[in-house]
Amino acid sequence: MAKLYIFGIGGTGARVIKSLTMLLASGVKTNFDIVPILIDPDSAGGDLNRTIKLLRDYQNIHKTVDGYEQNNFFKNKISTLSDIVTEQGGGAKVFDGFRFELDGIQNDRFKDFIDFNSLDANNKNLVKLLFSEKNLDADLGVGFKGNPNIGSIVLNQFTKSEVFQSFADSYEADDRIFIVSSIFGGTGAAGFPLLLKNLRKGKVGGKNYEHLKNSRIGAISVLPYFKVKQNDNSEIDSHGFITKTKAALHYYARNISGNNSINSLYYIGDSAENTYENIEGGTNQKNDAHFIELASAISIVDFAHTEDIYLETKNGIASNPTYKEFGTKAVRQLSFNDLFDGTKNSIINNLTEYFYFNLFLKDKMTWAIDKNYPFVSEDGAKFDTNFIQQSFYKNFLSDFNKEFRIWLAEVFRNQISFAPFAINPIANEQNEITDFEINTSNIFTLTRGIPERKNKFNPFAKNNYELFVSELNVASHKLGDAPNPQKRFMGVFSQGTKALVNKKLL
Amino acid sequence: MDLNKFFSMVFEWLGYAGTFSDDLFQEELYTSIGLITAIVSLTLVITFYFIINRPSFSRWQHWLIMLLINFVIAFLVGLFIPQNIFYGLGIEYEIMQYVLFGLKTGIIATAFFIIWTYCFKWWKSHAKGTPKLFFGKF
Repeated sequence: MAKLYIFGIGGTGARVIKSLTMLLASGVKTNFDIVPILIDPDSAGGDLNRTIKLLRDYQNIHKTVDGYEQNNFFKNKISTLSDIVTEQGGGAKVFDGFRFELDGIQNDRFKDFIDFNSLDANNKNLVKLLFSEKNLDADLGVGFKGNPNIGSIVLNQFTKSEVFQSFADSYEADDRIFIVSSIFGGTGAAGFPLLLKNLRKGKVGGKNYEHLKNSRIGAISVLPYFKVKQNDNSEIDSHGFITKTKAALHYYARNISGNNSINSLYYIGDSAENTYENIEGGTNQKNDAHFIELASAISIVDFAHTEDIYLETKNGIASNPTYKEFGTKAVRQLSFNDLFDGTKNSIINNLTEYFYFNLFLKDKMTWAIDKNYPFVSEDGAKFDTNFIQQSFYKNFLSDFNKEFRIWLAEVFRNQISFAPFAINPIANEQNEITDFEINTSNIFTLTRGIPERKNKFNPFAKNNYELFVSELNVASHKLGDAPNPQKRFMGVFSQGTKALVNKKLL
Repeated sequence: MDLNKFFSMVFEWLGYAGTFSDDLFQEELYTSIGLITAIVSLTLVITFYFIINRPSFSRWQHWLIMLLINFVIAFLVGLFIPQNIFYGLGIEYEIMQYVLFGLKTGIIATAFFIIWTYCFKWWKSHAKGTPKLFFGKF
C-alpha cells in the first residue's frame, strides 16, 4: 500500500497526529499506510510523549488484529520510518520510533549550537543583529519558544540527517507527504517552509530523487487558536501570536503559495477564547485537546482522499494547487449537526461506534463476563477473566481507550467545545482530565442532536444495554470463531456497534 | 411403536401403581398425558430460547423459572386429567393416587424439558449455552 508520510512539527504537530490516531482507531480510513514523523526539540514535552505512547498502543493493537476483515477499528496501518525501511529490505536501522531526535540540543543553549564563541568579531556582531541576547541564551532542550528564527537554524539538521536520507530512499512514486505545523509557534513556523523547500529540491545527500521533487504534498498551517496566561518570566507571550502569524503569512505568500510549491494547503484557526497555562516546555506542557486539532486531522483524511489527478506536480511545481479553509456553523459548543455535511459524514458513524465500544468496555465488560452472555463464550474463543488480563486488553486496548476518553473529554471542555456526546469530564486536583462519566442509563440519548429511534409498535422492545448485548450476541453468532481471540473480540464489537448505531441512531 | 405402551414404560419406570396404572393404560391416558407433557415442554423451551429470547432473561436462573412452570403445568395435567376421565367412568381412587401421578408427570416433564433444552440450546439465541448442567461446562 502507498504511504502517507506525516511530518508533525512541534507541539501542534503532535496533537494533530494524536487526533488523527483517534480517528483511525475509530475506523476512519485513508487508504494509505500512515508514517508519522514527529519533529520536536522538546523531548520531554508532555503532548509529544502522550502522542508517542498512543501511537505505540495503536500499533500493537493493529498488529494483533490486522487482516481480519470483520473488524473495522484500528484498520489503517501506522508504521514508523524504521518499519518501512525494514520492509523494503533496508539494512541500517533508522531511529525506531516516531520522533526524530534532534542532535546537539540537549542541555545546549542556542549560542552553543551555533558555536558562537568560536566566531570572529565581525560574525559575532552579525549574529547579534539577527538574534537577541535572550535568543542566544535560549535553552534548546524545551523547544524554540515561539522563535522561528532559532527554529529555522536548528531544524536544518533534519534535512541533512540520516533519517531524512532514509525517508528519501524509502519514498515511492505513489506516496504522499503531509506537513502539520502551527504558524505562531517556533518549531512549526520554521520547520514547515524549510521542510517543503528541501522536499521540492529533490536532492538529498547529493542524490537526486525525482519522485520526491514531484511528490504530492499537502500541509495544514494552524493559526492561533488559544492564548497563554501572561507570565513575565516566560518567553512565550500570546500577544505576539497574531504578529508572528502575519509575518509568517507574508513569507508563505512568497515561498509557498507564491511559488506553487504545495499541492494542497489547509488553513485553520479560531478566536482564542481559552487560556492555557504559560509553560515553556517539558513534561508539564500538556494542553487540553482542541477541536481545531481534530479538524486539522480531518484535513489529512481529506488530502488522502483527494484523487491523484488533482495533485499533479511537474518539475517541483504543483499544477493545480488548492487552498482550503475550515468552518463550522456559528455555535460555540459543536455537535455533529453543527459540522457541514461532508465533515460530519466522514466521522460521525466511526466516532459514534467507537464511543459506544469504549463505553461498554469501560462500564459493562466485567458485568457481561459475569453474566456469561453468548458473545462472551459460545461462538468461539472466550472473552473471560483470562482474556481481560492479557496485555492486548489490559494494557494496549485499555490504555488506548482511556486516552480516547480523556481526549474526548478535553475537546468537550475546551473552547470552542466539541461535544458530540453528552459526557461529564472528570478532573483531578490539578484540573487535568482523567476520564469521563455518563449520567444516564438511557445510552441512546448520549449522541447530542441525534434522536433515538424508538420502536413505537413494540413496548417490549429491547433497549439500552440489553439491546447492546443483543447486537453483540448476533454479531458473535454471525462471525463464529476467528484466527485469534483478539480478532474475534474486535470483530464482534465492530460489527455489533455498527448494527447498534444503525438501528438506534444513524 | 405403540405410544401408549411407550409412555406407560416411561411413567411406570418411576413406579407401578397397580390398578391405577392399569386403568390409565386401559383408557390410553398415558398417550394423551405423555404427548401433552412432551409438547408443553417443547413449547416452553422454544419460548425461552426463541420467543422471549432476551439477554435479560437468558441466565440459568431464568431457565429454571421456565422449568418450574413446566413442572407445575405437568403436575396439574397429571392431577386433573385422570381425575376427570375416571370420574366420568365412575372409577374412584384416593386423591393421593392422583397427586402422586401428578408428581410423576412433573418429573417426566422435567426430563423432557432437559432433553429439549439440549436439542435447542446450541442454536442462535440470546440464551445460547444456558444452562451448563454437566460439570458447569456442558
